[in-house]
Amino acid sequence: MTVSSRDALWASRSVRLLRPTAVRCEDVRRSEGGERLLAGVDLSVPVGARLLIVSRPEGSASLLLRILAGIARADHGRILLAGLSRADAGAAGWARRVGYVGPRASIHPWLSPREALRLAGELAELGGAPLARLVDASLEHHGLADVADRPIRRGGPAVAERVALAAARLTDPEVLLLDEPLRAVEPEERLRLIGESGPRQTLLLASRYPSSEAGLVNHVVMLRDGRVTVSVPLAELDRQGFGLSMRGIESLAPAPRAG
Amino acid sequence: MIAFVTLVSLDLRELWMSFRLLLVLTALLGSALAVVVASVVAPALPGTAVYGVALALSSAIGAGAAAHNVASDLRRGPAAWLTVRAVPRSSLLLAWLSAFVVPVAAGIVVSALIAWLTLATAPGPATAFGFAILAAAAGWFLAVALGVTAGTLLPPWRAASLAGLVALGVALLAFAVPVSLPLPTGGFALLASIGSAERPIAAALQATGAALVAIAMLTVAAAAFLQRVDL
Repeated sequence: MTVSSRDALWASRSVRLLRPTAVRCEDVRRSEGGERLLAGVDLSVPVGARLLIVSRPEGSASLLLRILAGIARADHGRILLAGLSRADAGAAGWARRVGYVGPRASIHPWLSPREALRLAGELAELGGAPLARLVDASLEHHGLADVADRPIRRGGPAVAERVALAAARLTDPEVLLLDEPLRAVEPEERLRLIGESGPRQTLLLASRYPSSEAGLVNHVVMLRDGRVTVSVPLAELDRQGFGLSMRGIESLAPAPRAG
Repeated sequence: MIAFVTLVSLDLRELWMSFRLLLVLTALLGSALAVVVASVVAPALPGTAVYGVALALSSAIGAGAAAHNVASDLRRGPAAWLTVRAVPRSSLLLAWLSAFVVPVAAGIVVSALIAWLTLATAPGPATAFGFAILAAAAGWFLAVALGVTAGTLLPPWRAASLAGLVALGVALLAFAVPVSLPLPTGGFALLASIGSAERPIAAALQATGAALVAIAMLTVAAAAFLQRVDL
């Protein structure tokens, strides 16, 4: 018997061989207050990759994710996410195919988790009974069933972060951008929630604490002075005996040029 | 369209939950209350003058509330949350403005009714008073648009203070020039001198038109600022 699903397609041998690109950045630049936080970032992330992005200065990785999510602007450069550029993406396409969870992108705290998820679904042009079922399943899955109808603010930051992730995941997006996600959630639960994604979902995770992302990523990128200076599979770090730490990642970067 | 209605209802709920809606309605009804109080405390004062000045002062509160509302949405995260879900920034802006339209319009109608019923003697034909109210309402919406524009540029309290002060200045300026000049806030001054104004309906329509043009210009400027800002 053959079982067909979107995940089965993306997990197929031919797709693994072709390695289609989920995220492409070309010469992305951004300066702030005279400081060049992104100085020509070129990045190509294949479908299904789980990418950790760290940076010096620390804000660069977060800024890159915010630019990818469309909530910060780039001074220059071209970006494609899930085959879409921000300019030509319709509401249903973009909202369904790209998810973002950031430290500040949060909905009104007086909404209940159920209302927030319904809103996310409606903005992705879902509705009716299918949306209600999807919301119920998502509330259950993200441990929000008990607080589903209470204001988010009553649950504190942990509930707000779970709601943010659940809303980002509601439409099963192809690209998930996570900027320092779920810091208020217990580490084991955090690993469980972030770690669950199918082979077609591409994960970009910006973090200041690489060691806390062990088990979630399979590739590491480091931005230094606004450029990609390290891009290695996690196995390479392990092979060199560095482990997933800032010091280990930095040791793979070429020495900065004098002057 | 459905998404826009969702956005406006979300903004209306935010206005309610943050007590800004209460502030705006209190400012509008307070203007009518000023006429009631003046008719008892200082009956010699012309009621329409008191009402015109009170509405002009209250528009500064509307500007401050709008500025604080927009700046808070931009800096606390809801605007980013919606933008990530492919809601165009221009839709956010129009939703912020639209969320003020219904409560402000309802507040002005009720306020004007109270003021009209309180006036001991009618200041002129009801039609002229109605058109002057229309012009004053346009001046009030201009203050809201000013607040929305300031909110896209500055942090909440700075935006609210600046928008309130500028709206107050623009509103009071109308009292310093002849009513025949088509100022966007001319409705407040026209209301104050409705009994003695020549061709009040024409003056009201001119002030309303000037206010609508100014609102359109401010909205275009706010949309341009909003496209550039990081959320």
